[in-house]
Order: sequence, then C-alpha cells, then structure tokens
Amino acid sequence: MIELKAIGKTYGKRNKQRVVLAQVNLKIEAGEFVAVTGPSGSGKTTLLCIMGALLQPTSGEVYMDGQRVDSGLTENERASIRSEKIGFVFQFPALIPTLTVMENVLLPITLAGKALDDGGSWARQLLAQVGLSDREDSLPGTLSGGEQRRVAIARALIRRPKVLLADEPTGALDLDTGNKLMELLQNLCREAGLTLVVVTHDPTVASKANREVKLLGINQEYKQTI
Amino acid sequence: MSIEQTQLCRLYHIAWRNLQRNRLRAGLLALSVALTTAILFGAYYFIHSIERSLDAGAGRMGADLIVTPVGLESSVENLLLSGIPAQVRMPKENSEKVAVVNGVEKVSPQLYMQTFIGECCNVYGEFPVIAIDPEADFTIRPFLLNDRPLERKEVAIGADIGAWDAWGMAYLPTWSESVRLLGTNFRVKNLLHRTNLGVDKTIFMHIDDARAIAARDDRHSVKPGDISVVMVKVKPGSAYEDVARDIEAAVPGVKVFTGNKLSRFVEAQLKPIKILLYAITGFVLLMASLQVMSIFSAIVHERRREIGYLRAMGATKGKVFQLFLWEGFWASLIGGGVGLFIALILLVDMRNVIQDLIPLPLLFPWFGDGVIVSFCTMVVAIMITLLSAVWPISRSMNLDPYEAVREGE
Repeated sequence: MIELKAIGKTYGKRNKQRVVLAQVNLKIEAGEFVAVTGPSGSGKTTLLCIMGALLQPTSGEVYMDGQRVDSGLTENERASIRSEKIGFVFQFPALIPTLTVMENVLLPITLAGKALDDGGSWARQLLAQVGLSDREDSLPGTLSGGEQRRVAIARALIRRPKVLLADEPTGALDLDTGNKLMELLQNLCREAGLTLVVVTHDPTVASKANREVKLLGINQEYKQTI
Repeated sequence: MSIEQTQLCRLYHIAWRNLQRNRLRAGLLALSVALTTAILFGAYYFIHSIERSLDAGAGRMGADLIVTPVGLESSVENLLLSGIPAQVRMPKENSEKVAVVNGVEKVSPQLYMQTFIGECCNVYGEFPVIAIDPEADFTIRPFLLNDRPLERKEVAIGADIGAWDAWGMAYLPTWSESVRLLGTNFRVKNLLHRTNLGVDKTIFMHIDDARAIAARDDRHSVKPGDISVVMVKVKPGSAYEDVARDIEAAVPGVKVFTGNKLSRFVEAQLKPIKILLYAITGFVLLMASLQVMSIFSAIVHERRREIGYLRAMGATKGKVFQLFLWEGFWASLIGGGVGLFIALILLVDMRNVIQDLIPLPLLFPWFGDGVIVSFCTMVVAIMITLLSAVWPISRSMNLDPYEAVREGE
C-alpha cells in the first residue's frame, strides 16, 4: 500500500543543514495498523507527511498504491491523491469554527468540488459511528476536545480514503478519552479495511498497533518492532 | 439543517461564514471598502456633475450661438452670468429667419421681461423674468427638476428663489404655490437645479403668457411680436464661426456670439479642482489598496495552519485562493453597498445643501446615470479589493503545507 525507499529529509541550506531522516525504508501493507514512535525531533511527523504526499523528501522514493507520489507529479496531482486516497487526522482538529459539524465533515467534498452521490448519508453514518449523530448542526465551539477529534476523524473518512494518517490523535486528551478515541479509530479502519498509520508518543497507543516503527533521531538507525 | 442543504455548502458559503470568525477585522475591511466606494462615488459624481453643468451651461447660453440685437450682447451676458436684468428687444421674425440659415439645427427664442421685485415662495428679492417657448426650448430643460414642459399660467423658478426645505431637498408642496407676477397669477410648477449662475435667481414663464401680459399692459415696454434673444443649436459638424457669419448676413441688425465664452471661463476655473479631485481619488484608491493588502496579510498569516490543513485535505492552491478571494468579495460587496448608500444619501438627497456649501456650478446626474455610476463604483471597489488581496494570498499559497500544518508547534 505504502512503500518508502531510502527516504532522506534535510532542512535548511548549506552549512545550516539539519538531517531529519536518512535512508528510511518502510513497506506498509493494506489494512495494516502501524505506529510511528520516537523522541521529539526524530522526524515522525515529517515521515507521516512524506507518506501523505504533503511533503517531498530530499532523497528516496515514495509509492502509494503502486504510484510514485514524491516526484513527477504536479502540485494539483498531489492534492488530488491526498483528496482521494489519504485521510489526515492532526493533533489539532482544525475544524472551521463557523461551519456546523456536518458542514465540517463534508468540507473535503466541498474542496474537491466533486459531490459524492451518497455524501450526505455517508456523513450521517460516519457521525453516528463516532457518536455525534445528535450534534450535526452544532458549531465546533460547543463541542469538547474529544468530540472535536471525533469530528476530525469523520471528516478524514468522508472521501473513503485508503490510508488514514494520524499525527498524535490522542495528544492533549485525558487517558480515558484518548483510549476511547484510539479504539474508535481502530474499529473504523478495521471495518473499512483502511491502512492506519499513527504517529504517537504514547506507548499504550503504540502497543495496539500491528507494528511499531521507532525513529531514533538524527544519524541513528531506525528500527521496526513487530 | 438537512443533508441536502449541507451538501449545497460551497466555497462562497464557507467564505461568507468565515467573515463572521473575526467580525472586527471583517468590519474594518468592509469599512475601508465603504469609505473607498463613498469617496470614489463622490468624486465621480462631482466631476461628472461639473462636466454636465458645463455642457448644460453652454446649452443655456444658446448651446452654441446666441443671437442678440446689435450692441446689446453684454446685457444678455450679464443677465445669464449674474442675473442683472436687461431690456433687449427684436422682432420675433428674426427667430424664423435664423432657423432657416444653413447649419442651424434648433432655435429657441426668449423674451426678457421686467424684473419682478417681491416675494416668491417665501423669498423676497429682485428676480428677472424670462419668457420661453416650451416647445422649442432646449436651454432650461436640462435643469428642470421634473422633466415636463412649462404650461400656460405656470412658472419655473431658480434654486435661489425657494422651494427647498431645511435639508436642501425639493419641497414638493411649494411647487403649486401661487405667485402674482406682472399683474397675473401663476402657479409655481417646476424648479431648476442649482447652477450658481444667474439662472438661480430667474423666473421662467410661457412666452404666450408674456405676450398676453404685454398686450394688456404697455408698461412692460414689450410689443406682442417682440423677443429678446434667439438661442441657437448648431448642426453637428458645422463650424460655429461660419454659421454665426451666415446668420449675421441673413438677419440684419443682429449680433451673434458664441455661448462658449462662459463655459470656457468656468472650465478654466474648474480645471485645477478637477485635477485635485482626480489626484485625491487616486490617492484614496492607493491607500485603500494598501489597507486591503495589510488586512489580508493579517488574515492569511493568522490562518496559516488552517491553510495547511485545507491543503492536507486535498484542497488545491487554487481552491484555497478562491476561498480567500470569496471572503474579500463578500466584505467588499457589503462595504461597497454601505459606502454607496451613504454617498447617495449625502450627495443626492442633500444636493442643495452641498451646493450651498460649495459654490460651483454643479448639476447632478439623472437617475439612470446615477444607477450606472453606482454599479461601476461598486465594481471598481470590489475589483480593487480583490486585486489587492491577490498578493498577500499568493504569498501564503507559497507556504509549504507541511510547515503550515506544524505552525506554532
């Protein structure tokens, strides 16, 4: 499903260069749940964004569903891949405060400019799955942090992606809420057969994954723990 | 809200909602556009009205030529410029002779009656009385508040004489006020826009009424067949000087002079004002543009992370660009509407007050022109907002979505 070949990422120019990722090779199968862990600054989010065609690596190759996405594509083509194949869940839910929950969930469809035939019913179904059926007309400001994350998950799934990339989805949530959210995320992905990649600091979250990819930081080897 | 309704949510809808996120900033943006629109509209209105007034002024002076008895040209000019009464007489046949001269398109005879000293529409003063032929008139018609020809036993009065209320608006009931002129009762049925020229102190009556008065009372030293001047409109393409020479040759005892003398004088006086107005308008547009750039820079900077999230969701640069442009459009539409409304109230409803404050020959556009000017002003204001927003939005589009997403971490 996702294949990274000798991925390297360097920030800065000339003598102020900072190597974040070097020679990362990773293959993630369809339907797999992978946790990416490591200390701060080890390049976890960078790796996630490279997988999601949001960031181009300095070196190496990225394949999504057999298609190379790190080069040879225009910005719009990459946006199209993100729109159709990838769902992002970020640490901050990033809901538009003046749109209702339902409108926020449907936002990727609006941005894609292509209506799904069953967009409305699918959105309602997703909201039911995340336990927010009764809040579809609410504004994000009236929801709790956990509820906002659940809306963000529903929004990430609205375009029926093949991969869900989540960056610290339980960050800033209490333990109980975080656990419930992870459980929800796993169940949804399992039911839909999605590939789930989660960046996390939380060992409990990582322990639930099929596989843990641990990034050890600058100039260190990364290791995979199954 | 039903699913069907939510599916109708489009970029312009999101942009409209986004305006409500920071109402103060959206309000300031709209206010900036409102001021721009009001100033733009006001400046155009003034320039347009000055030009229209000059055109109409030339028309009043005979459009192109004025035929007077020999030696009395200066009396006519004095009357038109400052309202100083003139005793000018010549036979009405002169008008018919002038009408058939090659190059003459229209003629409009006028008869200068005795100056009326007394009260008209609650204003006491000395008012020259001019009789016109409403069928042939093309001189005062551009100034009439109501575009209807003068009928028998009716008079039209200049703006200084009255019929304006305390707010400077036309006071309709006084139009039917009765006034006794030269021994005859008339009704005030029409009113002329202010020109700041002699016409503001003049009363206009039907030429047949004037002749009836003259026939009844010889104290007015007017014979039934008398006229004072003939206003002439020259056919397009004909040289004024050639037509003037032909008239003088065809009609003995008359002198022809061009009515452009006054226009040229006023135009020369107004030229620096017009240049100043253009310059001020230009500066205002520049300042408005910089303000919009500044506000939009703040808006996009504040929402860098959101831009990153939108891009992550699959939005192209173009879509995000459109979203911000829509926000600019809504703000400018609201601001433009408000600005236009304020400008219309100030300039149209209170035109007489403004003309009292600004002693310039202003003549405001008719309703149709006003609508076109309003529409054009709105379009210009919206275009300036959108074009000014392009640069800050474009800059934010160059931001790497990954960096935008991690903004503030």
